[in-house]
Amino acid sequence: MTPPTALPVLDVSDIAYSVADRALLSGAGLSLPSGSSASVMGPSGSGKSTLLMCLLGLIRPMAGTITIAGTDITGLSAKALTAHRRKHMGMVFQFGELLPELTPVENVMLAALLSGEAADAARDRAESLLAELNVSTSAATGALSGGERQRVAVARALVNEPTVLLADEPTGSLDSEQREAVANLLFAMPRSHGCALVVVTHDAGVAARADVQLRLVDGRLIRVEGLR
Amino acid sequence: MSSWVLRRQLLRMGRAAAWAAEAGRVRFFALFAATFVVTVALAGFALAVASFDGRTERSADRWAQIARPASGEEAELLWLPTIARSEDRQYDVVYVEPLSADAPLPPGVSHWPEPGEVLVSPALKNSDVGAGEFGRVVGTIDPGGLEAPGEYFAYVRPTADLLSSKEMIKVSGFHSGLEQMPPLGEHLYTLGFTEFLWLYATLIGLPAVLFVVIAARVGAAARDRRTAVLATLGASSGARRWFAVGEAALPVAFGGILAMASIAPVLVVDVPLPVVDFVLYAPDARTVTAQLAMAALGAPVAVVAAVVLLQPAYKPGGSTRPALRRRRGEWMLWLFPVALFGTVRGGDFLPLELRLSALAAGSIVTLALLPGVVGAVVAAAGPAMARAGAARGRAGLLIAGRRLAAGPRPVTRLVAALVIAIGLAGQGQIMVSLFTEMTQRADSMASRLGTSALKVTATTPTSPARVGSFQRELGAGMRVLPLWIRPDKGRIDIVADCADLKSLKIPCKTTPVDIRAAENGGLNRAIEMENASGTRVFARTGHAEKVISETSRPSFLVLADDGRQLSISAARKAANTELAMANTVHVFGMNGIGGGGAPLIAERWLELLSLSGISVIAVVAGIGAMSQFIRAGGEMSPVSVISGNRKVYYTVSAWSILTPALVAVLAAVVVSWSITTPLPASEGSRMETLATVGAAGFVCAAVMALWGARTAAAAAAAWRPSGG
Repeated sequence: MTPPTALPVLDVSDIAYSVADRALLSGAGLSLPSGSSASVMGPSGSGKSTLLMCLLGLIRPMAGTITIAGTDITGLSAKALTAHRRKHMGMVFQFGELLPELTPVENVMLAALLSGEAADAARDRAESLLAELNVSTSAATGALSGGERQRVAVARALVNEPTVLLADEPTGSLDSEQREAVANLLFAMPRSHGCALVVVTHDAGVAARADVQLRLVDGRLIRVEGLR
Repeated sequence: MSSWVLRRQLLRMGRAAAWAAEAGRVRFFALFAATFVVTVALAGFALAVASFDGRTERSADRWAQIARPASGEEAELLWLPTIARSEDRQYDVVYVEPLSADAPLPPGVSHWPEPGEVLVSPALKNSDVGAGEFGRVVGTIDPGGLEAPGEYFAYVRPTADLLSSKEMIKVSGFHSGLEQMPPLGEHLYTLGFTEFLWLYATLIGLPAVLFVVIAARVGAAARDRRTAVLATLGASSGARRWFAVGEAALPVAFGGILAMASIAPVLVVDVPLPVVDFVLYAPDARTVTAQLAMAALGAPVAVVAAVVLLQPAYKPGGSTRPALRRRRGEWMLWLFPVALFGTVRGGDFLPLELRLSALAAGSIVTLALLPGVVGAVVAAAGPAMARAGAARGRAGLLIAGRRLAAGPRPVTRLVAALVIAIGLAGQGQIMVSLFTEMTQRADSMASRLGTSALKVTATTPTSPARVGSFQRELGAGMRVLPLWIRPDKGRIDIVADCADLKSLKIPCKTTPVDIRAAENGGLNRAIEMENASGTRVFARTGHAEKVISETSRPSFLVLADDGRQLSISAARKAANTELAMANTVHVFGMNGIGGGGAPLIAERWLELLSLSGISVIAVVAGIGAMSQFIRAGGEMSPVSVISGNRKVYYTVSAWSILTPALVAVLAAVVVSWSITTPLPASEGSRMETLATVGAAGFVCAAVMALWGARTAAAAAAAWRPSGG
């Protein structure tokens, strides 16, 4: 277990992004040390996905900086950005986005293999993560429940030991029981794996579990409640 | 909601789903193009039948009615059909002589030519073949008097000097009323109806059906999900069918409309077909207007029916989660070896006349079954590939292995296109090679012999005086030596004056001298060739006139003193002007080899049909690859984007597309080799053809794999996380 440190591993400062005449992000800012979590809520179309894409480096903000693990990614070349993302970022998608033909272990180790990890190490880490997240490795991915699939997705996002873990509506497709289980597990990750977690969600119950609760209003991230 | 309102709603929903699907445009294009192809294929079949029927009718119409004075049918004209040869074909030249001013005209002819004049078909007039070799061309024959507008045909009215009335047939008119094809006309030198139908079914019908089957399922995953949602909402199977109809209706309608717009001109104007030198006759096409309309309506309906029938059945209580697909029809795999054996050896147990049909049918069935076998082999290899990929840390091999094991059908569809393309190309090209071998043998013989020694045969009687005129017409320094040909004894005697023989450095004796060599190069090679085929060539002097007068079809050796190459066309024109009413001229030693026409025309039809069929299949394969990769790209995007690894698309493509495609190409080549064993093509020629086709298949597979990977990588590059 990596103890949390005070230094921010994610520092978003005054980023702006517009589409046509519409400002989706306008001076948004966020700072998270490792081992902590933030939730971002906001109505549909408020710019939550745009924020995630900026954090992933898939789109470049028009102004401001995004510093991840000490590097401002807004100034990186495409190649350097890809390498930085591979090393420091993990993401959990709303629908898991697993490959149904692969086994859970293979789905998790795939992310490690694609990042250049050796097969044995990738398999060991995948099996260990799935065991930790209590996912059966004997069942086929296609036979897993929604909650189990999301736990596999969490394991996959963690397999490369990211500095920052992003989650896009990770409980959006789950029933209440599964939602609780996945949310508990997800918000335990920053402390157990020493990463920072940003969760975009519509679910106030899920958002309330975060150390920092933010709402995206008029392109700015407004803090809803103080650090716990 | 009334049933009609519900149906309209379902149709609208289906139409909307057609565009919204992940591979919506590919599916739309596939259904559109498949409908176009199958409509054109059906219309083409109707037009082919119409052309054969029209040809039969016109051929019978221009066949002469033999005069029967006893029945009151007086002779109105003299008529003699002959066969002429040009370099690349045979065609018919009919000699006519009206016996009265109001003698009935042949169909397509508006007036009798004067003696020495010729009426020719437009195609013959516009060709390089010298229509003027038969006389002065004064007009053309209307298409109504020809089997097809592109036919080579001529009516020649001989000069009074050359008219051989005794050799000609006395006829009372035309329109024989024959129900079968008479022995005159283009049909003798081209593909027969049955041969054509087999080729059409194999080279056009099979690809068209394959296209429909593949288009019905390609990119249908999104539609299937929507159909499943409808089913869970309580939609009946009928409602799901209406939804499927709505999804397919628009592209199918567009495909049908475009096909008919493309075909409609054949009803108005004569349309020349590319490659084959054949003109589709508009009046023939108009006789099947109803069938064309049925094709225009029936083909789209058939495509929609395929879309509806080929959608997977809804299984109530089944999981909505992605799961391994159930393998169906494994029993069909066992049919493959049976079909292969039956095709290769079945002919041994059949009567001769059924063997070609059995071979063609067996080849179609075997090739149609092969993709399923390749798919099963590839699916069986999938788990081992995945295990190897996981053990060695090869992400591409891992993903491809699991995909192939879980759902081999997309790959099966892809390899089906390749297998059938290679099978058809192999079959087509091997059949072409049969003809090409004959043509090449003839060409090589012709080029070896040259044209310094010609054999001119008067097919109607001539006289020594005419032979003299013929020699003078040929010009100074030319010699015309009578030949006494006795095939029953395997000998040819050159009968000539001593001066002629001495000019050829041949001994001049009254007793025949066996000639093994001659100074004239062409004659020397012709003698070698005749000797090689068991015919001996002798020379003797004396009684040349007797040979000319007593032979019904006297032949002559024509050569120049200086051994130069001669013009066959000039010799033919001189013979037709001076020697006899009808003559044939060819290189001495060729004995009618080459210029048969049928091989060349059949070869061209094979080229056109196989080119069309393979083009269709190339589109099918491209569509299959594209839809496969749009889906694969979409599924792999999240993990590949986060890891920044685009190379994985290329490795997945290499393992999931290139490898099965290579297995398919090898299997197709081996199977094609087996099923073409009964054909009389040489092993070398088959090997060369299949190696070429196989290599083309490898290149095609590599291009598809690369293209697919690029498509998927591009789709991944555009991928963004969804959400609010």
